[in-house]
Amino acid sequence: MRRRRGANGSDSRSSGLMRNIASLLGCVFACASLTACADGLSNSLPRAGVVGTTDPFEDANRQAYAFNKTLRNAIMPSDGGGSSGLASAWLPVHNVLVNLREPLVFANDLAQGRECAAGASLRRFMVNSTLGAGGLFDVAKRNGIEAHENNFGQTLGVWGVPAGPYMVLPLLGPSDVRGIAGEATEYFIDPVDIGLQRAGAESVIWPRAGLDIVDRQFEAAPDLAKLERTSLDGYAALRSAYRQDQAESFRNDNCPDVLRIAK
Amino acid sequence: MAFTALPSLSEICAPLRFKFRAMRVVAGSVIAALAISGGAVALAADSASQFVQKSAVDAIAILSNRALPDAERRLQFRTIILKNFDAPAIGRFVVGPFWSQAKPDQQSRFQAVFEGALANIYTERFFEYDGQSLSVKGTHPGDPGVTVVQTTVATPTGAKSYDVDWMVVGPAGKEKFMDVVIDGISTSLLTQQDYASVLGSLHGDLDALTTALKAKGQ
Repeated sequence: MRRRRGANGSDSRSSGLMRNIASLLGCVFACASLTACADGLSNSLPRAGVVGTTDPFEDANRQAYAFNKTLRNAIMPSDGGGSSGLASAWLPVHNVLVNLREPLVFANDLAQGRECAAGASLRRFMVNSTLGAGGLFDVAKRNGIEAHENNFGQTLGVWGVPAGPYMVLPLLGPSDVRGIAGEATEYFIDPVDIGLQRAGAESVIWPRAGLDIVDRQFEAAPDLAKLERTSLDGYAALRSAYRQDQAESFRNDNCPDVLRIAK
Repeated sequence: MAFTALPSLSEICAPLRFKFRAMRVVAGSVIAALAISGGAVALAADSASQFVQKSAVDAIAILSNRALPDAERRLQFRTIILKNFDAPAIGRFVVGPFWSQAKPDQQSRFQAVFEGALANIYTERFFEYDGQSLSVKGTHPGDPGVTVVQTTVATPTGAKSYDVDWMVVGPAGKEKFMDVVIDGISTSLLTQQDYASVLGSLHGDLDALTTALKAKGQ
């Protein structure tokens, strides 16, 4: 599952916004450092293999989950548009968004010491930006180098920052304090956003962020619909899936087989 | 002679030889046991791997049989799931510590309903996997008594692939699935945490969980 980052802003409008984000980051890191305490307060539900069931904001999270579910059911086909052809029409947009994210994924791969994954991201960006007509076509995937997700929240995790309490954000879905801190930091470090700002194309940044949110919904809709059909408490099931997915993202080296053989 | 009172070298060595013999016997036994258990592990891995492949062939045959209406394919697929999954053991696992707190008749009622829920869960997970291929990447021992078979499931065009780990339990020839982990997400663990949340709000009442499952149509 690819998770995408949230909204960004531009230099011209953002000195106040940046201060706010910096303040938010301060709070977020403070909260993250309190995770150990929060972990001690975690519930006593049975669990095996997955750590960190801390959910001190469960009431607010459930409200955000209900909001997201209502919104998704209202605007998104439960099969992600597969039957209506909407998914096929959206695919080039998805491909471009994924391609625009590759430099950030590459940077995070490097920051985490995952050189093979970094090589995969770099190859994907170079191949898809050229042979793939600016990312419209995923040529790299057809050649065995599938996209993988990485983000600054995960980098913080590799660097030892604890996940912190589980949080569900309106529109953006499940995350945790570390993930939110990572997304906020990506505002400052996304090479594509920095490039757009330097090129004077700040107006593209917000629409790109909006499309990212829609893209997440397209990707998640079929799985979320299945999860809700097969669970008694969709919120708890999604929380479990999120945490297991997070744990897996640290285990998986994201090295495509074609590059692994070449090593 | 004073020396005759001393034990001869052979006498001194006799206990040592006995110890060496004993050690050789023990070492031999240990090596034999290890070889047997290693062989058993290898055998279990082969058998588990074959079980996964056979199950996949059976399942894909049903899923890709477009001559059958959807309802009939679903019914046949559910039958395969109930045959190949260890529903009673999974049922006990997903209820966690609440299982031992429940009375036997509550446990029986839950298991009767949970079987259907389990079939629904896996039917939802796999029903769209028609025409896909499964390749075994390897096997390794998991928790005691569990063999993990690692596979990749890919779409016909290879456009999308999933890492799917199958947790196999039971002796050779009588294997069952205990869990399926898709891209790192354990189905049994997810169900356990789902039910734990519900049981928490129902004060651990297993009958209430059974009723909730029935109400959900599972």
